[in-house]
Amino acid sequence: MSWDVIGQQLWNGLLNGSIYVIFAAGLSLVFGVMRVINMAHGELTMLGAMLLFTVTDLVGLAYFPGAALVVLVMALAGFLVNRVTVRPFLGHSELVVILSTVALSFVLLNGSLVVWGSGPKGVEKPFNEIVQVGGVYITTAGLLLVGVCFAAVMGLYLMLTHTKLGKKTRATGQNLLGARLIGINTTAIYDTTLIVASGLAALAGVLIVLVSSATPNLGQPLLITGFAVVIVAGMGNVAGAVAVGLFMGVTEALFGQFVSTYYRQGYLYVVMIIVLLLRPQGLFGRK
Amino acid sequence: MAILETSGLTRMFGGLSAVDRLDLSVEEGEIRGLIGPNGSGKTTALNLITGYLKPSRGAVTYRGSEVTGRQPHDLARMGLVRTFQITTLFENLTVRDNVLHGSHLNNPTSLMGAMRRSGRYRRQSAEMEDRVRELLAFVGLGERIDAVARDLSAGEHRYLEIAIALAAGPRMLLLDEPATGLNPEEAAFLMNLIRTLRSQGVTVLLVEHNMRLITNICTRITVLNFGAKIAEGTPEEIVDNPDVITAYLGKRRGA
Amino acid sequence: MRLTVPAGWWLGGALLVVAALTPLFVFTNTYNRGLLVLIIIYAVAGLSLDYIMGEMGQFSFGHAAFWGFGAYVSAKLALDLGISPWIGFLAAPVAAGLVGLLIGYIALRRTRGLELAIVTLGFGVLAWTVALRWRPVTGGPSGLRQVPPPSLFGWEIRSELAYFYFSLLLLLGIVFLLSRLRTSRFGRGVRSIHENEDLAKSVGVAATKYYVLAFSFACALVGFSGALYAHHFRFVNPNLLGLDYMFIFLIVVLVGGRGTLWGPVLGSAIFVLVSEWLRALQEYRFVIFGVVLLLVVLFMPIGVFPALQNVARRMRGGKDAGGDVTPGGQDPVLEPGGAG
Ligand SMILES: Nc1ncnc2c1ncn2[C@@H]1O[C@H](COP(=O)(O)OP(=O)(O)OP(=O)(O)O)[C@@H](O)[C@H]1O
Ligand SMILES: [Mg+2]
Repeated sequence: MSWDVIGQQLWNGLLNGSIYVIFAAGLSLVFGVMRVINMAHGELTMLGAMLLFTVTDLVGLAYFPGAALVVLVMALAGFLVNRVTVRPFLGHSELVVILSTVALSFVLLNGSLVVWGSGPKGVEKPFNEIVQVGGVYITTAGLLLVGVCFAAVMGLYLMLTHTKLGKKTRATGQNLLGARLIGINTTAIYDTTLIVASGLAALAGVLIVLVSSATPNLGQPLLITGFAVVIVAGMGNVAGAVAVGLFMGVTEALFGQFVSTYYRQGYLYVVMIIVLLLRPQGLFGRK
Repeated sequence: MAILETSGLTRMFGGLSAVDRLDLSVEEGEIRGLIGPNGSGKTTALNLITGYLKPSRGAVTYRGSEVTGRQPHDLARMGLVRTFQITTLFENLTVRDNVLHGSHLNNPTSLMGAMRRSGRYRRQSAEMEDRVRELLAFVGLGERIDAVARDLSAGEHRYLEIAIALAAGPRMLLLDEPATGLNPEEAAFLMNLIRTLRSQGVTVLLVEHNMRLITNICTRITVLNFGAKIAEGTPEEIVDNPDVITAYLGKRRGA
Repeated sequence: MRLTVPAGWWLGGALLVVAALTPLFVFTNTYNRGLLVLIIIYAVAGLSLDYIMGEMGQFSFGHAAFWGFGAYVSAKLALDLGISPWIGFLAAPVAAGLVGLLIGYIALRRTRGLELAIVTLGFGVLAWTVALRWRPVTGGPSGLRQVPPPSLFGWEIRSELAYFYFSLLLLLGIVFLLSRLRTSRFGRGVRSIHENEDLAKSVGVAATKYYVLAFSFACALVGFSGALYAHHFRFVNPNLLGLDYMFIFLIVVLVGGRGTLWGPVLGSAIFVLVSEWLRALQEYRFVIFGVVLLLVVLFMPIGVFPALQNVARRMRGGKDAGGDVTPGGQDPVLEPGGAG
């Protein structure tokens, strides 16, 4: 094996891993703060990609304004997701919330199939040069993807640790009742959490089209991968999800190259099972 | 003979020891009081003894065998049963079903019997029902048998908890502040219950804040402060002990 | 006390009588009778999922994987080894139960609630991936065809009607056994862990052991349902292990009503019939379905069956709703499902 091949796979893995990171971070955030498994998270990403296709291809916006618009709209849609499928059910069992988000994903997925059909849709990339670094081919669009993901994660980190809102959010996640007692408006926190998570999901969607195409079916597999990442990291641990997402992306690419392309899909789950066996609370989870 | 012994029992949380090298020896048939200011480690000690927490160091011996780190349900099977500081019931079940579900260790029915509703199963069920009624009458809840547990008053909650614990058939009962939330009459009733239990051969370890109650009923009292034992003796000795007074007053001043 | 027949059984019994008669009068063509069989198969799967949800108060996202696994076990035995489907109907639950024991042991040692849901999701997806990829054994994405139907004294039960009555009988047996299991020592142990695990342990219930056994039992039951599916529809494929069926079972339980025994049976009928009606809407059907689902969850979060029970109670002369929740502690069939 040559270093070029390894380098190429590292790069490919970095691309996937970056997507996993922001996808799983949103999933984990919602779980950590609200104790809600959002089964529609994958469809939010899918919508991000499909809407970007529509505003660029059909409406004629350029990539950057289109992507910004889509992420903004989808973030606001997060508010609706909370008010329609989460908030009305919080008084009931946690399972009912799973069901309502399943219902939402049903609607979104099948609605998208009706609107867009199941075929893959390409989106015009803002720039698409290929540069060669050593023996590794790197696309500028890919560089953009990695850069934006990095910025998004830093932004999320700073928001959670250095802003009042972030501190309130974390307090709410740790102790809902306590947070209410000290006067935190937890309803607003829940709204913002889903706004942020939905925005992150859509961001993943508009970035995915930089390296592959948009299709209504991209949500489910991503959701599953996202859960694997979240489990390995420890549920609700956002920082852990970031580290694990990146690790999973890179090692998955190497596994695909050197062990088996065929079973590549299974790799993540095997890692997950091993982690569960040795450390059921996840690598970064508290016992 | 000591029914329960701990030696050097220690539990750390972060850098602090919630229970610190505790040596405790409870004689069979005793009513032992365990007191101490808030946060002095009483509940933690109970959790360590009954297997709800693993000790950082030290050992627990029950009826002559070492049981450190054993699972709570194993200890219950050996007759070591506890109640909880925060009221803990099967809230959605009726009072009867609470005690019935507490009777797990005294439930002789077989799976096949239950499936077939065999004569034996029905006889055994009827016997269990009788025992449930008996226990409920004993704790004064005979009239409330069909009420749903969460609808009971605070006092009734406490009695039901004790009935559930008794349904497990304890040799030694560890009660964590059972009189919290009770008015003086209810507390007096509870203390009588505990005395009756003792006369039936049950050893009791009683965690309680109410000094009057505990000095009235206990044979001996152990005092914790900051997780460590600071005094032990008869109620009279404890009330006059200057260390105990300082611990309580010091706490008050600090708070 | 044991003579009073609770409303649950009246309703359930009525449901069954209707079910038993429909293929004779209403659903007279083969296709529609096939739907009835499907209702029963989903009902059994729903009942087993409800054992985890209603009795254990937990959730497994990997339940469909055990369903598909059971289907594969029975189909493989019949196809590769020529073993009779009747043996398959036994082997499938045994195999699913054993795997359930292993998975349950791994997952239930530490995790509960939502954590358990996600962990079992991982196992389920892994199983699905393996089924999809392990072509020589599973037939890959297209699965296995020509699974033989069971035969009785040399006469193959191919007719929808015969298969329907055969599985209806089994369904009845399963509901009956489940109702009795609840009042067994095991059933009460499981129930007590559901209600309060710490308290259950304090009175001697070996919580993890009981939960692992209960989980394994539910897996066995759903494996059986899978075998019923395989020999009726005569094919198996990896999708049987996947999330689509998982969602169906979840819908069956939650729409029907959690923890009510008859709820999943009703939920299954509702699911199959509603999605059949919506078929006319073609590609819009799943969109509408999702909306309908959301509305049902919104307005009947305890499920349809408990809602009907409340109506029935009111009709029987304003008896207060709590009155026969647990008559004599003997009949848990009516325990409200929405609580907890
Ligand atoms: N799970 C835990 N994690 C961290 N610290 C704990 C934990 N449980 C108890 N502590 C700490 O250990 C100390 C002893 O607590 P414990 O509950 O045993 O006291 P207590 O004597 O029962 O008090 P009270 O009279 O208020 O019930 C306290 O400082 C408490 O904050
Ligand atoms: Mg305490």
